[in-house]
Amino acid sequence: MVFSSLEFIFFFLPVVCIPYMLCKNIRVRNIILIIASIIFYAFGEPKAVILMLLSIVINYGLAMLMDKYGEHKKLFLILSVVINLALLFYYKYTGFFVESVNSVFRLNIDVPVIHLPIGISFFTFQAMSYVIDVYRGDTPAQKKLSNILLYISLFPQLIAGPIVKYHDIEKQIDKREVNFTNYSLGVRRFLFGLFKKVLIANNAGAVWSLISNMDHSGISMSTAWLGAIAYSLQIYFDFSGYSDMAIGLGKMFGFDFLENFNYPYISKSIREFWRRWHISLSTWFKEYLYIPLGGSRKGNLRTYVNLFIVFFCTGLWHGASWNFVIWGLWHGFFSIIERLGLEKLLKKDKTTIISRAYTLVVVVIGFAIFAITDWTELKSYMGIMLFNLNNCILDDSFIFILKNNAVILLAGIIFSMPVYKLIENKKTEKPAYGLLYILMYFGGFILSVAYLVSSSYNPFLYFRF
Amino acid sequence: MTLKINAVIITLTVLFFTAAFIVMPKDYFSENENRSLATFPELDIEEIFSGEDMTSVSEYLTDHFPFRETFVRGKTDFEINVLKSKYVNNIFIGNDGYYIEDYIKPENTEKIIDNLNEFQDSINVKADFMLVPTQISIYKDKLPEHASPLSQLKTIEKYYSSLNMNCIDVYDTLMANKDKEELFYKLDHHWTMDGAYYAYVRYCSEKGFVPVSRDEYTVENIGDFRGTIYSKLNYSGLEKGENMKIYNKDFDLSVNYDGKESNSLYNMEYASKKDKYSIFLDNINSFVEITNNDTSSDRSLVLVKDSYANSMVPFLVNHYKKIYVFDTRSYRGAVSDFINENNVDDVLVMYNVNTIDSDTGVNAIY
Repeated sequence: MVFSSLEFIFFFLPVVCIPYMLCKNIRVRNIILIIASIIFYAFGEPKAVILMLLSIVINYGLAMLMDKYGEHKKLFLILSVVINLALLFYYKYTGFFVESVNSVFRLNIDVPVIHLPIGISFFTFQAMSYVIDVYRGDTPAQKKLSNILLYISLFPQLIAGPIVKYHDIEKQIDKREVNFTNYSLGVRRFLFGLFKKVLIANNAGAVWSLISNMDHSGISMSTAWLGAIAYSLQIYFDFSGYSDMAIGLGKMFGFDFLENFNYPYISKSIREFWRRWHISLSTWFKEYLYIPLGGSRKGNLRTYVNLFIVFFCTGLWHGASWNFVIWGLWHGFFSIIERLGLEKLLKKDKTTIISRAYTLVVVVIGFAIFAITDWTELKSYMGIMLFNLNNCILDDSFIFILKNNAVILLAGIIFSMPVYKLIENKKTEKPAYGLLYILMYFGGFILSVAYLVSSSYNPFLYFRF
Repeated sequence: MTLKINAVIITLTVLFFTAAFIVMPKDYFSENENRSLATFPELDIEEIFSGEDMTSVSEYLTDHFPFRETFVRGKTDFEINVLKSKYVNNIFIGNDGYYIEDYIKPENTEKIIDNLNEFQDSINVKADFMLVPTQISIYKDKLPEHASPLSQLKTIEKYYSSLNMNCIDVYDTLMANKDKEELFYKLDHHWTMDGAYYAYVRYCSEKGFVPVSRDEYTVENIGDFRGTIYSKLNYSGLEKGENMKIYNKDFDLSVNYDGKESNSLYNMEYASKKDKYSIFLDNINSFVEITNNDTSSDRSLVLVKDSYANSMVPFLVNHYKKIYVFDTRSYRGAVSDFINENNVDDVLVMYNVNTIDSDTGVNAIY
C-alpha cells in the first residue's frame, strides 16, 4: 500500500487512527501500530511479511547475544551484517550480478527471476543500524522484541524511508507525546507531502514519460533537457513528498523523525547537495560506512578512495543496474573534484549564480543517467542532451510540452525553493490568512483526491473492434 | 488555532467520504467508460498470498469511490480551464471544437505486415488493402498550435511499400473533401458515414464500379451522439452530444449476424443508447453474411476489417450479391481457408491506422 492512495487515506488511516487515539496506554498503542504495520506491508507483499519478521527476529536475537557475550560481540556483528547484506543481495542483486558475470565472461548462465520485496533496502538498513548501535555501545540491546518489531516495521517509514536510525528513535518507542497539536502538525505535513506527490511529481512524471517514450531520433536538444528537468522534479517531489507524508504520519502518532530533504536544488555544490538530499541515507552511509573506513582522517588518497566506495554503494543501493552505479560515481567524481579545489573556486562566486547553476546542471544530467536503465538509450539520450546529436536545438514539441505543463513545472521549480516557509510563518494566525490557509489545504486535498480517483478512470475504448 | 481547525476539517472530510463509501449504493456498470466496475473479491487464501486479492480490493475501492464521476470530471476541468492544457487524457483540445485523439507509437507494424503478406500468399485472389488515417491526420490543421504528433502517414507508407496486396490510398480523397463536410465525428474516434462514403468512392474507382450517389439514400439524423472521445475526455465543457447521420436505402437484404437473422445493416436498438456507432452492422460480430437480393451482380466480397468498415458496408452492398464480413478480433479460424473454399471475387482488408496495431486477431487470418 502507498500513502498516496485512496485505500490508505480513506480506509486504512481512519481504522488505525481512531483506536490509536482512543487508547491512552502506550503499550496498547504500540501493539496497534505493530498490527497496522504488518497489515500495511502485507497489503502489497503478503509473502514477504515472513521475510521481514524473520529479519527482525534474527537481528533482535543477535543484538541480545552481543549484550550477553560481550567478548564475542564482533562475531555477532559480522554475522548480522553478513545475514542482512546476504538477504539484500539475494533479493535485489542476484539477477543483476548474474547478468554482469555473463556479459563480462561471455557466459550464458540463466538469469534467475527473483521478486524484489518492497522496502527491503530500507528495513535491512534499519536493522543494521540497530545492531551496529548496540555493538558500539551507543545503546543497550533492547530486551523487548516488540520494540524492535515496531522500530523496523513502523509503517510510516517502512517502505520508502526515511531510514530512521535506532539511536534517534529508541526513547520514543516507550515514551512519546501524542496530542492534538502534534496530530494537527502531522496532518498538515502529510497533506503537504500528498500535494507534492500527486499534484507535482505525478504530472512532472507524465512529462518525462511522454518525452522518454518519443523516438530518440526525432527529439531536439531542448526537449531532451526538458525531459531531464521534468524527471528531476518528479524524483524530488515524489521522494521528498513521500518523506513528508512519512514524517507527518509519524508526528500524528507522536514520533519525531529527522528531516530527510532540505531543499537540495538550491545547493551551491555537489557536496552541499548530498547534505540536503536523502539525508537519512547519506548520514547512514557516513556513520556506518564512511567513518568506519577512516573517513577523511587517513590522508588525501585514502579519503578519495573512501568517497569512491561510498558513492559506489550509494548508487548501487538505488537499484540493481549499472546506470545507478554510474550515477553514484558521477556524483562521487564531482565531490572529489570539489575537494581538490573546485569548491574554493565556487566560493569566490559571490552572486552564487554560477555555483548554483553548476550544481543544477550536474544534478540534472545525473538524474537523466539515473532515469534511463537501458544502455543504448542512455547513450543516445546523453548524445542529444550534451552534444546536440540530432542537430536540432528547438522544435515544436518542446514548445507544445512546455506550454501545456508550464503551471506544473513552474510550481515544481518554485516549491523546490524554501518559499513554503514563508507561507507557514506566524501570519496564519491572522483570520484572513487563516481562512486562505485552510482553503488552500482543503482545495489541495480535494484536487489530490480528484487526481487519485481519475487514475482509475479507464474508458474501455477498443470495445468496437 | 488555524492549524487545528485545518486538521479538524481534513479529518472530517476523510471520515465523510469513508462513511459515504460505506453507505452509498454501488453502481455495477459505468456507462461512460463502457465497462463493468470491479466487484468485491471473494477472499481466498491462495490469492491473498499472491497479492491478487489485495489488488482487487483496492480496485473495488477506487471504482466505487463516492462521487467518482464528479471527481474525474473535476480533474479534467481543472487541467483544461485552470492549467490551460491543450493535451488531456491523450486528447488534443483542438481549435473550432475539435477534440482529436493522439496517435500512439505503433509497436507491431513489422509483425502485422508479415502476417498480411502470408495471408495474401495463401489465397488465390489479389486482395485490396485500405489503411485509413484518422482525425489527427485529416484535421491536422485543427490541432492546437505547436502540437506535433507522430505521423500516421509514415506508418501507412510503411505498410503500403511492404505489402504485396493492392494498396488503396484514401488520404488524398479525404483531404480533398475534409472542409466541405465533416468526415469524422468530433466526439468519437470513428469517421462519419460521409467519410466512409469518400473512401467507398475511391474503392469504386479502383475496382471499376460506378459509385452510387448519396442522393439515392434518405438521411436519418440521430442526435446526441457522445462517443469515445467524449467519454475519454469527460469534460464539462462538452455539454451536448453531436449529430449522427445515417444513410438509408430500401434494399432487399438478408443479413446473418453470427447466426442471428435480420434484413438490415443497422441495429436501431443502439440509437437510444450511448454507444450509437454500434448501430452499424450491430456492433461486434465475428462473422456477418450479407446477401443482396436486389442486385443483378453475382460478385462476392470478403471484407476483413475493424469498425471503420461498418459504416462503409451500406455503400458497398450496392455492388455485391454476397459480402462476408470478418472481424479479426473475434473470428476464430482462418479467413484464407474460407476464401479458397468459397471462390470469392474480391477481398478487401481495411483498418484504421490506430487499431491495426492493437488487433492481435490479424495474426490468425491465414
